[in-house]
Amino acid sequence: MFFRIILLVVGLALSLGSRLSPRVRSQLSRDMIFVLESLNGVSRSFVVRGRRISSHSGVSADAVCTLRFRTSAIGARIFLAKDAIGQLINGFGSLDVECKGEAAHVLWFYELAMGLLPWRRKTREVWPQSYAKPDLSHKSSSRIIREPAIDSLDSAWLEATEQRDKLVIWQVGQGAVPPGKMKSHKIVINLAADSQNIQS
Amino acid sequence: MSEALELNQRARGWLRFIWDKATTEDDWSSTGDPLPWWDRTSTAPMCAFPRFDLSETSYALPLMADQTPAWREVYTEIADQLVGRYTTFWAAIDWLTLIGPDPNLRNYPPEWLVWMPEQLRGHYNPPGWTANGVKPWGLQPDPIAADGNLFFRGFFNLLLSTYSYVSGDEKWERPFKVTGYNNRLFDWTQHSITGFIENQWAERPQGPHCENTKIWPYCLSAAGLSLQLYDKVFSTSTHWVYEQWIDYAKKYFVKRSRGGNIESFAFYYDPIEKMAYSMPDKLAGYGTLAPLFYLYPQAPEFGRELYESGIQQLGWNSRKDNFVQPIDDPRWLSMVLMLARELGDVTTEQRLASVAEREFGPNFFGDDPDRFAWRFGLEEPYPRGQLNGLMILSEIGEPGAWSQVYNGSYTPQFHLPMVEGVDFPSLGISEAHNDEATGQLHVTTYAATSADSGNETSWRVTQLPDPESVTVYRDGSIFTHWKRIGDKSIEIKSTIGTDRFRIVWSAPGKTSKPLAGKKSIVMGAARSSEASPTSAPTKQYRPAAPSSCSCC
Repeated sequence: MFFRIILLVVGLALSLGSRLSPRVRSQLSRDMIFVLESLNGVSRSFVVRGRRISSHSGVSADAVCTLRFRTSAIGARIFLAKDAIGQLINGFGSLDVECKGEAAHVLWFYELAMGLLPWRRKTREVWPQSYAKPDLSHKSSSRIIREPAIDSLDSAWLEATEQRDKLVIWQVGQGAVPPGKMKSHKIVINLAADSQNIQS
Repeated sequence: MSEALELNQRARGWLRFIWDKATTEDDWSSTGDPLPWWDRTSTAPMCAFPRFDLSETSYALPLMADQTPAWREVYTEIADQLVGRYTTFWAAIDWLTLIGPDPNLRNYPPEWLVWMPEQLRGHYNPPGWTANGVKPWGLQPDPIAADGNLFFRGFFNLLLSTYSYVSGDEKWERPFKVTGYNNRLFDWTQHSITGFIENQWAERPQGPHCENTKIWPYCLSAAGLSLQLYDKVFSTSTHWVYEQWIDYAKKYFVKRSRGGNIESFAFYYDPIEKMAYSMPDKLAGYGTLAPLFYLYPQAPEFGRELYESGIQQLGWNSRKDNFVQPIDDPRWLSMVLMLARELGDVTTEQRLASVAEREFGPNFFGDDPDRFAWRFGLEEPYPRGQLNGLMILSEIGEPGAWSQVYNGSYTPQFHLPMVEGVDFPSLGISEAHNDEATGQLHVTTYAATSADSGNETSWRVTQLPDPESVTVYRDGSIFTHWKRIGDKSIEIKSTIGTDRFRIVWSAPGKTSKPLAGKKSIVMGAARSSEASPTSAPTKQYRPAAPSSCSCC
């Protein structure tokens, strides 16, 4: 029950955040469905569409990522823990938690949700001896050619524009799916048999 | 004979494949396209550029050269081809085309957003977007002389140092051209690049920016390693800037618990945004382990502390637990496997090796098949160069061999008898080293191309003090199919296949002095870092028919 309420509150908060907060909206870059569920019957689907989030109870077959807890009590405990990500990793190992899809989505979702809590955000840090603007007195500066700032690639350099279009970073930025992922990637691997060999 | 002094089957297969890649001409200019076997996909968005394949392919070369110190020509040729490509448009394509603020920064998928601090996501240039041209830096057309882009020159310098280490040759110490913005060309030498890195770093102890404006321990440590190897080869002292940075990193990049344990080592710090980025909780282990591949040979004690912390956070050293790898990228396991071996962490090494054997698809391929690579479960026509370049390091040399390249004593055998003129890739050399005390050269051959097995071939032993007095043995018996050529060399006729040769070039008790070789050859001591005035020959990388892919 508690886990169901948590997921409901998270869904409402994210839904509201996606309407009011540019910070949240800027992270909702891809339409997708993310599912949290427990094996004892609690489930909620979080639907990202057009930089808005909505949620509904139940699972979705076309979820890009499903995070499944063995029980709702485990789900609630982990979700509210201060070191939730650490506990999730432990949960993967102990098989209390299963991730179908990419674990990076779990991290993204969790941090998106926690980012709604101002006290959970990272603070800025000023480190000493920072180099935050050109220092022309530096010896190495004498070798650097500095020209006026520009916002985009020289449009007259046509072949460079064509070559840039071939870069993964550019293609994905234009909406493509990141290429070349392992089809067989397993988040958890049982090495029990190998461990016996290691120990022996 | 030490078994570890021979290249194993996998290393030979990898060498066969990178020879194909390096020596097949292609066009890395702004109007060309690198052949598709150059990996520009792995570890996006940070490393999805083909120059990372150039760098990572090179890492095996010094290890192999240390395995066969009396046979270097193939490693030299490969390293030379890698360096040549690194001077081109495609090597610097990010600095030359990812100009200004990223117009797509609101469109990156969640799995990429997690590489940025949460509150910056969606309005921050992602890792890999070098952002040449942004304020306050302005457009900087030279990819080497820049406020940022250590990301480029640090790895380049490491490749150049690698070339010097394996070749003993001064080609890239002479001026060469590097392609810049709008195809402007800039003159550099290996020495001037090193000098620039040292000067800039001396003035910026926090560390030069790897892109604009992030400071990554990963790329700083690669740049530091380049200085360490440079110092070793040229007997200079540029590496102090990294040692100074390590002190800084311990204070600021590392976060410790109240008990003093390392909690995280930032992936990067942005001095304009004033934010450091680390992953949370146990995932911080990835950031802790990330730079170690380069950092460990330079700061072993600190490196071991980081390693133990990172491994424990990820739980990869636990004998009883399941193995958990949250990030879907074989790079991490590949690097840590090599590190575990390097540090003598047998439990972790064996666990990771088990995963790699089961999941990464080690595979001999090609017509015979003579080539070797891991396929990583990817349905792609070519093996990933970046990932394989890291994986193969666990197959070469003994534990500690990686550190030995960079921080061990420098005792090249360039002045001793050398094996040259080998018809590679038909014939390969898996063992070639001199025993100076007994005046013997040990050489083991193998068929690098199985289809050529049994064919006749010949190769030379050069720099012999007295070719007249040489005795050659094959598999323990006197071997007579050789002849003297010139004053200092002999030519040995053999067949393509596995044979063990022993060339006795100095009688026991006789103190024959080995010869100095050609002018560029290292005499066992470090070389001068003075640049030679003549230009390095310009290598052309023209389009070539992507010769039939031998792997599919």
